[in-house]
Amino acid sequence: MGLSTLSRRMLVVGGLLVAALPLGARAQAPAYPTRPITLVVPFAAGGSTDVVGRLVAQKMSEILGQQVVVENVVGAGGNVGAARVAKAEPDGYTILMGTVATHALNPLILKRKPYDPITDFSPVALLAVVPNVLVVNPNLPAKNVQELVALLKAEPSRYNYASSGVGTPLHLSGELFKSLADVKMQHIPYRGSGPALNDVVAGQVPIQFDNLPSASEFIKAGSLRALAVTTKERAPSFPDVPTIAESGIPAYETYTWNALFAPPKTPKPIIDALNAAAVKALADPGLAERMKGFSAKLTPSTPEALAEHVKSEIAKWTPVVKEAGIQAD
Amino acid sequence: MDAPLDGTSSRRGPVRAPQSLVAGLGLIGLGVFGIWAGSDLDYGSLRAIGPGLMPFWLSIGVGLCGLALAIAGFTHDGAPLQSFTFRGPVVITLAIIAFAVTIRPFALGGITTPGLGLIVAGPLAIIIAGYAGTEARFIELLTLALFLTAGCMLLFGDMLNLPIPIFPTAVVQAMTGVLPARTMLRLAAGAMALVGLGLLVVQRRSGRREPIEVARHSLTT
Amino acid sequence: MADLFSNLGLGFSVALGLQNIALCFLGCLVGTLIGVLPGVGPIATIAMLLPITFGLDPVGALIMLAGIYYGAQYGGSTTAILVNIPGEATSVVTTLDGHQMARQGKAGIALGTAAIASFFAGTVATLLIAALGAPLTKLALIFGPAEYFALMVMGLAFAVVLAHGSVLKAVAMILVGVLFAAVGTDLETGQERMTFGFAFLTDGVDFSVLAMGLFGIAEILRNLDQTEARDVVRERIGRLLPGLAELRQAAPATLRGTAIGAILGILPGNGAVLGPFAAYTIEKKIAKDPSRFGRGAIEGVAGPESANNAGAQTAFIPLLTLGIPPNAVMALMVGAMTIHGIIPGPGVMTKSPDLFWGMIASMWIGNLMLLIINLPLVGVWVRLLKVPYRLMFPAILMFCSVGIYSINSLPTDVMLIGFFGLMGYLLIKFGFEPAPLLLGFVLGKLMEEYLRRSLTLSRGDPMVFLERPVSAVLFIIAFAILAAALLPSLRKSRDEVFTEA
Repeated sequence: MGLSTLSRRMLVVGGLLVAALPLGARAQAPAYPTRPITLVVPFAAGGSTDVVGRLVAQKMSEILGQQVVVENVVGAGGNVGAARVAKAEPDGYTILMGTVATHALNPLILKRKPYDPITDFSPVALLAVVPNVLVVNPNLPAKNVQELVALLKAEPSRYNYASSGVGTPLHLSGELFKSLADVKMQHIPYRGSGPALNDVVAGQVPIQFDNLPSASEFIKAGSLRALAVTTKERAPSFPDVPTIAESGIPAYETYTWNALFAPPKTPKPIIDALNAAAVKALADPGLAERMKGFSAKLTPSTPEALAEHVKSEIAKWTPVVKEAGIQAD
Repeated sequence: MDAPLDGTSSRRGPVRAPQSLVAGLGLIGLGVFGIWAGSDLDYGSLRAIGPGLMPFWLSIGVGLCGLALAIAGFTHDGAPLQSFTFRGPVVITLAIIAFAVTIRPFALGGITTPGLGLIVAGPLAIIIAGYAGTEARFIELLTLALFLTAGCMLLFGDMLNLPIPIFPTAVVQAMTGVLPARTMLRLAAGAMALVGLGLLVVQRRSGRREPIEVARHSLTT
Repeated sequence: MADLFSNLGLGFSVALGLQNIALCFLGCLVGTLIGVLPGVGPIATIAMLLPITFGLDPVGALIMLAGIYYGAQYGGSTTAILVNIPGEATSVVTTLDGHQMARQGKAGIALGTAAIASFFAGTVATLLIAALGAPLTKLALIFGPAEYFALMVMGLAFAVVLAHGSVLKAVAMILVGVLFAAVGTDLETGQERMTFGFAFLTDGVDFSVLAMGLFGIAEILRNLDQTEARDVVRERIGRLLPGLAELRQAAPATLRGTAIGAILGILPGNGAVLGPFAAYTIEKKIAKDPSRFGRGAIEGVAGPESANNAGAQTAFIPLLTLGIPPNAVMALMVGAMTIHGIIPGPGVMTKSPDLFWGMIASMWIGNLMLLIINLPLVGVWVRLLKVPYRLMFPAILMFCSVGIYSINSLPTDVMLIGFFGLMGYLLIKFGFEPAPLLLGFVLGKLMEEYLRRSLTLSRGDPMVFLERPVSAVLFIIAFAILAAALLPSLRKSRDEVFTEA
C-alpha cells in the first residue's frame, strides 16, 4: 500500500518535472532550434551581404521562434568567417551567409585554401541574386557598350576601371569583360565600392563595375551613366538599362549571389528546417519589397539546387581567374 | 627613479649617451628585420608599385634614423639607460594571456583550451594583474573582480549585446532550454555582486581598513 | 536663406518629437558610455545595435545611431584625458596635453574645456551642414588620389610637430608606424606582407589594438615602475570646471579648431582623422611659448577637441549628400539606411527631407544633451582618480581586454595588446613617444594606397603631384611645416635634435 502510494507520488512528481522541463537536457529529440542561432556574415556590417543577411535573419527569427543573431566575422575577403563556419559544430546553431566570393572566387584565387567550398559545407538555400552594373562617368563619350568597346579599342592603354578590390566579383566582372570583348583597361582597386564610386563620379576613373544597389542612386541622379547590367535579363528596377549580353557580348553573365550554408555533415532534419524557414522568409511580402528596392532578385532554392549552383559557379569562374592571373597566398 | 648617472660626459668609455646608442641599435635591428620580412615581396615599378617597395624604403629609413641615433650616442651627451623592472611586464603579460586563452576555446599547437567565458576570464585577468603591483591583497582583488565582472556582464552581455561569451561553453550547452541566456546572465551577475558585497562587509569587520590613499598614482602626480 | 530656416524648422519639428528626443538621448548616453570604456568602440556597438533599430522608423533609428557615434567621440576624450588611452584615432592628440593637465590636478578643467569646445564645434558644424551641405560636396570631388596623398604627407608633417622631444626620434617613430601599417594583405595585389604566415595578421593590425597596447598597457607598466616616485607629489584635485580666464584662453583655439575640423571632415577619404592633428599643429605653431605644449596647455585640448567634434559632424556631409561613407562607422550608417529601405546617395535630401533635416537638427540637440550629460559627470570622472592605483590598473586591463575582444572576437587581438604594451614600455624607456607612431600608422595605410593609385592612374609619372594645383599647394604647406619644425632645432644646437629639448 505504502509502496504503491509512494510510487504513484513519484510518478506524479516525475511527470511534473518532465512537464516543467520539456526542453531539458534529456528531452533532446526534436524541437530545433532551442537557442539563438548565429548567422555569420563574413563581411563588414553595412555592406550588401550584411544587409541581405540582416533582413533574412530578422524574418527567420520570427519564423523559427528563436533569435537569428548576425555576427560579422570580417577578414581575408570573407574567408575568415567562412572558415569559422566550416569548422563549427554541425548542430545548426552556426550558419554562414555565403557569397560568390566565399564559395567560388576565393577558393580559386588563394594558393593556401582555408576550406573547400563543396565538401566543407552543407548547402541550405540560395537566397538572392544581386546584379552588377557597368557604369561610366557621364563625361565619357560612350553612350552604350558598343561605343565603349570602340573607345577602348581605339586607345588601348588610356582607360582605367575601378572596382571594390582585388579578387572581388566586381574585379572579375571587369576581367571577364576584358577577355570577352577583347579590350584592355587598367584595373584600379579600391577599399570597397564607396570610395570607388566617389572617384568615378568625380571623373578620376572613367569606368566602374559595381553592385547595382550601391550604384543605383547615382544612376538615378544622373551622376553616373549605366551602360549595361551584367545579368542575362534586365533588372526590374532599371528596365531601360540593357544587358551586356544583349549589347554584343552574348556569352557575358556575372552576378553576386547570397546563400545560406551550414557546417559539413549537419543532420538532414536541421538543414530542412533551416531551408523551410529561409524559403518562407523570402516569401514574405515586406521582405520582398525591401529586397526589390535593393535591386536584388529573390531566388529561394532547395539545398540540392544550391549545391549544383556552387559547382556551376566554380566551373564558370575557373578560366576567368586563370586568365586574369590573380593569385594570392 | 633609478640613481641617475650624473655627469655622463665625465664617465669612462666612449659612450656619452647610452640611451641614444641602445635606442639607435634597436631601430637598426628593426630596420634590418623589416627588410628581411619584406624580402619576398615584389618592388614593382613606378608605374605599378609592388607591395614590397614601401616596406623596403621604410625599413631603410628606420635603419638610418637608428644609425644617426647610435652615432649621436658617441658624439653627444645624453640620457643614461633607465632601470627596468621585470615584475610588472611579466605579470601583466601573463594576465593578458590568461584572459585571451580562457575567454573562448583557443587552439595552440595541439592543445585547445576550454572556452570559459567572461565569468572566468575576467576575474582571472584582474587577480593575476593585481599581483603586478607590490601592494596586492587577494581579498581586495577578488572583491574588485566580482564587482567588475558582474558589471561587465550586465553592460556588455545584457545592455550592449556584444558577442562576448559569458559562461563556459559546457555550462551553456547544459543549460540550453533550461534557462534563457539572459536570465542566467542576470542571476549570475546578481550572485557575484552579492558575494562581492559580502566580502566587503567581511573586510570592514576584520578591521583592516586601510586609509584610502588619495592621489598616490601617476594620474595625479 | 528662407529655405534654410524652413528646412531647419522641418528638421526640428521631426527631431523634437517625443520618441526622437528619447532615442537621441539614449544614443548619446550609450555613446558616452562606450566612448569612456577603453577599447569598446562605436563600430562594434553600432553593429550590434543595428537589429534593435529594425522596429523603429528610419529617422529615429538613424538619430539614435548618430547619437552613439558622436557620443563616443565625446566619451573618448574623457578616457584620453583621465587614463591616457585614446579610444579613437581622433583622440590621440588629446592625450598629449589633456592627460598632462590631469596629472597636474587639472583633470576637471581639461574635461570641462573638452566638453564646451566640443559643444561649440558641434553647433557650428550643424549650422554648416544645414547651410552649405549640398554645395560643399563639390569639395569632395576636387580631391582625387593625388590630392589625398598630398594631404596625408601633410598629416605626417604635422606628426613631426606633435613631438615635444627629439625630432629625430619622432621621425623614426612615424616611419615605424607607417611600416606597421604595411603589415597585412596588400590592397593592390592581394599578397600578404610581413605576416610571417600568421592568419591573425592577414588583415593587418587593428588601430584599437595598437592604441590600447601602446597607450593603455604601456602606461600601466610605466606606472608600476614608479612605485617609489608616486607618492611624492600629492596634488589636490583642483577646480572642477574651467574658469573665465581659462575659457578666454581656450576660445580662439576652439574657433580655429572648429574651422579646421569642419573642412577636413567634409572630405570623404577619412579626412576627419587629420583634424585634431592639424589643429594641434597650428596651435603649437602660433603660440607665443610653444614649449608649454605637451606639458598641459589648455589650447592643446580645446583646439583638437573642437576639430574632432566638428569633423565627426561634417563627416555626415559626404554620407548624406553623396552616399559615400568616409569611415567604418559611416559605412555602418549606410547599412542602417539600406536596411530601412533608404538607399543613401544624392537623392536622400530631396526624397526624404524629413530624414535629412531631422538628422541634422537632432545633431544639435544631441550635442546639447551631451553637454548636459557630461558637465555633471566631470565630478564623477575626477573622483575616479581617487581610486587607489593598485585597484585601478587591473580594472583598466580588464576593460581593455574585453573591449578589444569585442571588436573582432579574436583572442589573438587580446594577446597583441600585451605585445604592443611591452613595446610601448620599451619605447618609453628609450625616450620615444608613441603618439607619432600611432599617427604614422593611421596615415600610412591611406598614404600608400593613394600614392600607388595616383601613380597607376598617371602611368608612373610622379609629376602628377605637382601638376594638380590642390595637391601642389598641400605639398608646399607640408614642406613649410617640416622646414619650420626642423630648422629652428637645427639652428639652435645640434644637440637638441638628438636629445630631449
